[in-house]
Amino acid sequence: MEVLTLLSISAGSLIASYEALRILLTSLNKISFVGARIGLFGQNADPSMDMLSAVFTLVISVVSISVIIYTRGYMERFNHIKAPVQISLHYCCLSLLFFSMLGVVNMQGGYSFLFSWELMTMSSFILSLFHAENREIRRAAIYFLMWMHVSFVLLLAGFIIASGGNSSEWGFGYLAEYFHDNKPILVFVLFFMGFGMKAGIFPLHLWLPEIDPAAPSHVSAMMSGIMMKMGIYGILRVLTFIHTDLITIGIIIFVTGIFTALWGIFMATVQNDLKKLLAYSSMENMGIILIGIGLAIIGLGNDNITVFILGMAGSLLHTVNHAMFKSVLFMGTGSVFLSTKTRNINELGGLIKRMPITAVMFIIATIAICGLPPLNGFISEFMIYSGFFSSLSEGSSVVVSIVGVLALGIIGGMTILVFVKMFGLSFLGDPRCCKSENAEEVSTSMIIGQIIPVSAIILISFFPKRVAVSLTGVACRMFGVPALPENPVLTDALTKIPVISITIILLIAIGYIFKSGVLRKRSVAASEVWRCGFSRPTAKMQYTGESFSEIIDLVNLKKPGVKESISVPKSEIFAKPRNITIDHDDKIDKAVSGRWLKYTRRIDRSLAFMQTGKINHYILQGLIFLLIILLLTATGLI
Amino acid sequence: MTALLINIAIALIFTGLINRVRAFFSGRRGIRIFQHIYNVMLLLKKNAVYGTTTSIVFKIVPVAYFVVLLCSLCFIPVGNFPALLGFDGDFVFFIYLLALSRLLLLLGALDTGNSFEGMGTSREALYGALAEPTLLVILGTTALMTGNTSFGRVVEMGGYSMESNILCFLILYIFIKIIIIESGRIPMDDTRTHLELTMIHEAMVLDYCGIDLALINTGGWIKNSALIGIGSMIAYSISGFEISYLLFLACVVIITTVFIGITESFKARNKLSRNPVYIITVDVLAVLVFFIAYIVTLEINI
Repeated sequence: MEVLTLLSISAGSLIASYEALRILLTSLNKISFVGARIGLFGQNADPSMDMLSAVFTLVISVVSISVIIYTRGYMERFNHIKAPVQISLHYCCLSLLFFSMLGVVNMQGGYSFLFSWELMTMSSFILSLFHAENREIRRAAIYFLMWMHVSFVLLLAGFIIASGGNSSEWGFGYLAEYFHDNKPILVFVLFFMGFGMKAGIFPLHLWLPEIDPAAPSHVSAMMSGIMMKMGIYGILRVLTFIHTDLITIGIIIFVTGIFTALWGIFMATVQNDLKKLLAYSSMENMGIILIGIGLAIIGLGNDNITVFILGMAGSLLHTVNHAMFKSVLFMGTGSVFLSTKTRNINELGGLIKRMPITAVMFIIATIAICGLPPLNGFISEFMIYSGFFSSLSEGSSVVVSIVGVLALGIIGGMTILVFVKMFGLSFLGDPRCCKSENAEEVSTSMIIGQIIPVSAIILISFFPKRVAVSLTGVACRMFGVPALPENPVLTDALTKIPVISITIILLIAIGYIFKSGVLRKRSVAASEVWRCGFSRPTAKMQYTGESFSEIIDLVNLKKPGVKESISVPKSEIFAKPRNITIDHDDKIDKAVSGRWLKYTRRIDRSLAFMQTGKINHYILQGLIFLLIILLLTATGLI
Repeated sequence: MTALLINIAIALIFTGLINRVRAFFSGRRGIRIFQHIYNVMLLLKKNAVYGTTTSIVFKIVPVAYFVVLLCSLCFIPVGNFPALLGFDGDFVFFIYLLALSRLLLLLGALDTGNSFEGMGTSREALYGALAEPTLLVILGTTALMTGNTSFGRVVEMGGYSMESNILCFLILYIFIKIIIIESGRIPMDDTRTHLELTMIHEAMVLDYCGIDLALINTGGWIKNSALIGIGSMIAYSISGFEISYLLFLACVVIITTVFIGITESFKARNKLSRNPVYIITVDVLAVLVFFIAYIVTLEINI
């Protein structure tokens, strides 16, 4: 089964990325795959690929191939624990998820698109149920399924309103007509919420921190790396049809993006579960992408093409980048979990000496996700920043721009805090617990799986201009904007940045070699680190994840939902050993689902009198219902 | 190249000047003005000791920290002397180089597995995150006022009315605060403290010695010089002074050192929990400056 999956996904992604590259490199407008007609969904269901689809297809292909290679190594551990049918189902769903995502980005018809969308949800649901013996995981998966269906309903409503009740012909193609004749806000908000739920926008992100820790790591890599991007794809696709009210829509996206990013990053600082932390960081990155899109749309509304191009190309590039580094980080976390059996930062440490290759790839992804030069995360954030700064320097939408710059600054700084905590505490220092003492490097196939996105990161980092120019082309073509002949940021800056970056790296290498050469002639001693003269240090004295994020208290941001209650009864003279669990709840979770649950329970209770358990009562109720229907029909009310 | 040399000269002399000012106000004869350079030269001759928990990260970090900061210094022009490097949007690159240097220092500190360094890291990471927006907002103000996003072109501007001098002074004040925050001086942090529990910057470099410590100290001086360089350049570009830039820069260096020296002599360090408020105040001040600049550019006649 695994060979079959590997073959099908690699064949699928090779063909898909060939077509995608053909579109991106030759600037073809659109390729229709008439041969692949899916008769089930009517005439307009032929899959076709345009430039926007091509970008996402490429991302899906690269990440999926690396994930499936990684999965081979990851699943070896479970081959003799799980039943063969479970393993087969898992692999089957993995390829189903891949093909359904290809469907999502390449289907334009309403039925076929929503079919792929639903298939994507269902297959990822089954994938995340791999460890279904755990009750928590079943709960998280069902929670995920529930949210995704709310999203589905919103999308369906959006499509139906836009089609104007014409049930036979609907899809993306018909949105243009609707937006031409009507005010776009209502339908846009429906689509934005529906797609945004998949992208984890604030406050519809609640499924995200639940499902990512529950699913196996390669599935989280797929879900966080590419499935969330389907939401971004949907938002972009809908936006391409809108030509009025752009500034309002842009501000909606922009503000949502800021809230998403800030909430994500502040929640990420307090997490000690590696995967939960990464899930919140995904949310933060989705926020950055939305900030870029919002900026671009506001720029488009103001007819400021430079700002539009920088914002849109920046967020497209950030989408690509995030898919790459987030999948590396999730796969790296999976490797850590496999060899230490824990994902708790407070139990890790010192892994760089035990898993050096994983550590190197992890640190590359860390620097990239912090948006620091010389890696690709910086290039995309740089483009978005340049959008804001060029908007400022022209004196247009000044307030929006300064708010954006301020928000991106805080987000950037906090990201460094989060990822220093993540990498520093789990890979550096000494092992905090015996679990990470015996860690070993993972199998080759898991490493190869991570090398593919890492090399993509490095490629984008050192050839940013080529990538940015292609994405600029995509942005212009999709939104029907004339391409600018010369843009100093894109031509000048993106040529110089990689040169400077390479120089810095070379200088660091030379400096390090020189320093080692000098030190070789002197005496180099090893000793305990300074612990204030304490002579019997243990690894437990190191800073933990919990203490690292305690500093957040100083900003008067109460650490979200910390429960630290432990009581020792008076009768107990010598306290017995106890376990303490520290939980960081999402306040939005309580605000949204907690209260609703209370109200629905109350409604249920008030309706409970009808549930008598006697069949004759139920028949009576059925009769009353039919009578009401009859009366309403007779009076012409329905 | 001349610009880089001038900036390096500022980097070398800055700490010495502050020491002299402090000595003057505390009525001492004080140490020589270049004593800190002799100290570093002494460090360069020393042998090395590495902690048993450390990995290669700890050994690369000092070199990388120094190189990254030196590179950031290359972006700063001095008056008519052009910078070594520059492109449209180098504002952002400069700030992210500073952020990269911070990340390196943080990782190096955590590599020791020392609980004091953990403390320092966590504090520095938070303070850095809070201070980063200040610089960005000031650069946003510059972009708004001068219509440029590159240091190289900002410096060609200038010749505003005398009214905008108020902005010039505010920006200088903010930059002095940023230098205090970034280099961990009183009231943010006390470099002379000997209590590990209250250290910030020093706690992160406890385990470096010899060449490594020399590189990190020099990196710190370079960072100060870079901040002074852009601070005075931005202040000059939106001010109405009609004096030569070099004179202005000299004034800025002297004002900054005197300000920091006096603060160090007469103020106590903040309680640790007050530091975020201190930084956020500077942030808010920066936003205020931005809006004043916005009003100035709108040219509303009152």
